[in-house]
Amino acid sequence: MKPTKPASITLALLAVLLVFVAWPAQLPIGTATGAPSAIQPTVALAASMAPGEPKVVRIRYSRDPRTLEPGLFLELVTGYISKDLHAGLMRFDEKMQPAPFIARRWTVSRDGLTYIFTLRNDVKFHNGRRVVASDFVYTFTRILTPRVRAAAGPQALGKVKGAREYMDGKATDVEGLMALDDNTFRIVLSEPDPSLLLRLSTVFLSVIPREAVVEGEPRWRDKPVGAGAFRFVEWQPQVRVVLEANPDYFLGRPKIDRIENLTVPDVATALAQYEKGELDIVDVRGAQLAQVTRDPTLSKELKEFPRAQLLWFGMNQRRVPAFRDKRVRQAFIYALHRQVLIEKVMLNDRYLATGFVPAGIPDAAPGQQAYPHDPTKARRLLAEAGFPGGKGFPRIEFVSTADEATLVEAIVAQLKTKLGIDVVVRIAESGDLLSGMWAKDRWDMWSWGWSADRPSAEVWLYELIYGGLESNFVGYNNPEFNKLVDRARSETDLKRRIAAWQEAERMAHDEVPYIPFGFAKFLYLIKPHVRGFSADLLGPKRLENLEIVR
Amino acid sequence: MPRYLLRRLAATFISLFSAALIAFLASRLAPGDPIRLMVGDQNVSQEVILQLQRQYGLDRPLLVQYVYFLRNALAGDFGTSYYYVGRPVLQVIAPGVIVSLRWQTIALALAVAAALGLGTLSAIRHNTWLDHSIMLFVISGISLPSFALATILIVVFSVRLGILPVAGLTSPAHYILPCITMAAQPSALLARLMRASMLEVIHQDYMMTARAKGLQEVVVIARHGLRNALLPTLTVLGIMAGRILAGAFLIETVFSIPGIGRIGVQAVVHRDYPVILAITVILSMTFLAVTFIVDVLYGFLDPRIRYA
Repeated sequence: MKPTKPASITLALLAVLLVFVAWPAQLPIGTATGAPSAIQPTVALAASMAPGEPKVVRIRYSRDPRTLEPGLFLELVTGYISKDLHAGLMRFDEKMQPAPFIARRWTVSRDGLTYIFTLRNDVKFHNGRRVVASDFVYTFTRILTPRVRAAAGPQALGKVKGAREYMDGKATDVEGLMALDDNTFRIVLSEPDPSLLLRLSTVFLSVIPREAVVEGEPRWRDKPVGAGAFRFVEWQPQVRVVLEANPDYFLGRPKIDRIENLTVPDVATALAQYEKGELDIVDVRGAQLAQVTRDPTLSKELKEFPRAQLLWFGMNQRRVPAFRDKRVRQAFIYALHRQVLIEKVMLNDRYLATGFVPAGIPDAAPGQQAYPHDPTKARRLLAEAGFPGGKGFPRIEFVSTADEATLVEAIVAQLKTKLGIDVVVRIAESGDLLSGMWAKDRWDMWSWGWSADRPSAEVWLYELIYGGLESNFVGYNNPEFNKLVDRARSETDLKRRIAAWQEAERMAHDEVPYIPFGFAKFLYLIKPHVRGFSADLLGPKRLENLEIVR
Repeated sequence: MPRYLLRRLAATFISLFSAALIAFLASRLAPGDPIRLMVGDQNVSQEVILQLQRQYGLDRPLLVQYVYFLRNALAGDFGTSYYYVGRPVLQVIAPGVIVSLRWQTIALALAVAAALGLGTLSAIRHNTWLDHSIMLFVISGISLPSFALATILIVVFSVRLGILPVAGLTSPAHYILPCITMAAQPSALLARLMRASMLEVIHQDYMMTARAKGLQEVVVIARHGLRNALLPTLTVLGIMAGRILAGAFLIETVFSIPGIGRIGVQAVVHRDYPVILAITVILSMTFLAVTFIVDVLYGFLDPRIRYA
């Protein structure tokens, strides 16, 4: 019987569908060998624990890294993944102080302008070549190259002698970067920069090999080559970045064989995968925290680590002149019962902020007490400022993103009842909120966080509060405070510098240019068989000491 | 037919052009500066911001930006992504297009098959317990939002029973839950429509004639009934296709599927203009293609319909 036309069409469509289904799965955009990956989909860890099976740890991130070239962006996920691929001159020790890494030792001249680093001679890139001083010259020059669009370059290395001329196209190299020999690297500055060693300890100034960049341009970032404990295997965008142990790592081969950094945007899905055994380490936040703390198993596997992130509320002095009065700002912070908000609304996902510099940062002011909840004092201060009972105080719009809506509603309720002022909540999309913050003339009050890329009080006291700076979002300007910060920033003696920052912090604490709400935490669910995972103030520590214990 | 095809092709280009223009204007005029989002919380000087704006062409007037975009897009070049530094847009979205097309085609096929089966069965067994059960199932399918269904399926089949994976798309088993989630609502809607359509058709004279000729009931239904009952269903499917594809981003997010929907959401959040525009053009092309296929299928299903 001859098939009818509709039947023929149906059969044809079915054939197309079958071909479609059988078509190869999504190929990774970058693999170490350039060929599609032969790595099989991950299976539950129990199945991979058999003898001879590779030891794999699967970690969840909420979004893809933007790049795997560390110097391009001071961006969190890029940094978290890059730290295992790359290595730099220094890294942070347990006390968040610069410690030797590829550089065995270093000297700083008395005038604070010349730094000389003596390198180890046993460090190799993943392509087998030894790391030498000229690689650092190349890497840092590349970060300063305008064509590369490394936004972090000018900030991190802007004070290197000749950097400005190079960035402006007036020089073909950077005069202050020099390899004296294969094992000696020199940096000369145009002015002292006490934060240079801190910046050199971050992952963002890790060394990369010139030949890998030139060979792979423009797509070398999809197949990065570093000198870290793990080598790049593949990157499937929106799916995972896979790294494998580097057997030639100069500090010894890692104990685990592979890391899979999985992109799972939905935290509820990530939690389900964790429960099922498809993930070994998951960061927890928001609504899922309640679920985790209620579960008898999950609550035992939840670990918290302090984080160098200040969560604050901005009080825009440009839009609300009343905020220029210190008494008004203090009234606001006294009116808020921040501890209750953190415990009851945020389920202790953060610590109460005692100032502007998170505890653990070496130059944070010790022993500083958080503003107590004192509504009586708040009302008195507001009345002294000319707004008794909140009368005459302008209507305030408090802006937040949707995920903090509950918190902001509670804050607004407290301000209304304790101060008698008119405050309303406005929910904005995060991109809109961020843009409005930088525009400086759109929001009255808002909620945001400020994370550190290096462990220094400068991140908050200078970047947020220094008068006239682009990132001073609230328009606070106090010449006395600025002088203190100038002194701290230029002080080359460590003890005196710390003392200056602490004095600046005490002044900021009294002035309350922002309301410091909380110091964030890193909250991770970690499977019991994974040992050695922890985070320092800047993020997860390098995973070279991670192990799986049966 | 050739004149009809040419007219449709011209209309398609006009629609694509309009969609791209609207997407361009909407993305540029929406609040949120992509350069600021690019640098995030970094304390970057205004000088660096201006430099980046120049490098990405964002300091040019809107009209100039649009002309550049159009010129390059016609040559197949959508520029480089703002989020994935320096990566060509087509390289960013191409894998996502393949992934989405694959799993959504399976889901749509599942939806259509389920709708045909349930709707036909319901009509043939009209007013019986089977009909009522199917309609109850259908109403549940229509009422339950896809994200709720996704969560229920994950909790039941992945976490509690442990028989299916939670997320991702790396094996045939991974397709099951997202495809069911995606197919549920459209199959429910189409099943209702199919049932109503079939009820109208099975009482027609030509159906009685077919039975009178001695044909088996299954042949009567399949060859004579189904073909005629399909027409209204097909119309609705064509209209629904756009909604289905647009709603897929939620499912792709929940199931961590690296499809075009998820890439699109990330692009919007990060104001990745080149990716937003490219996805708009591609999704518009997909929708227009689906509508076109539906219209052409009409002609095959009903010989009375011929396009001049």
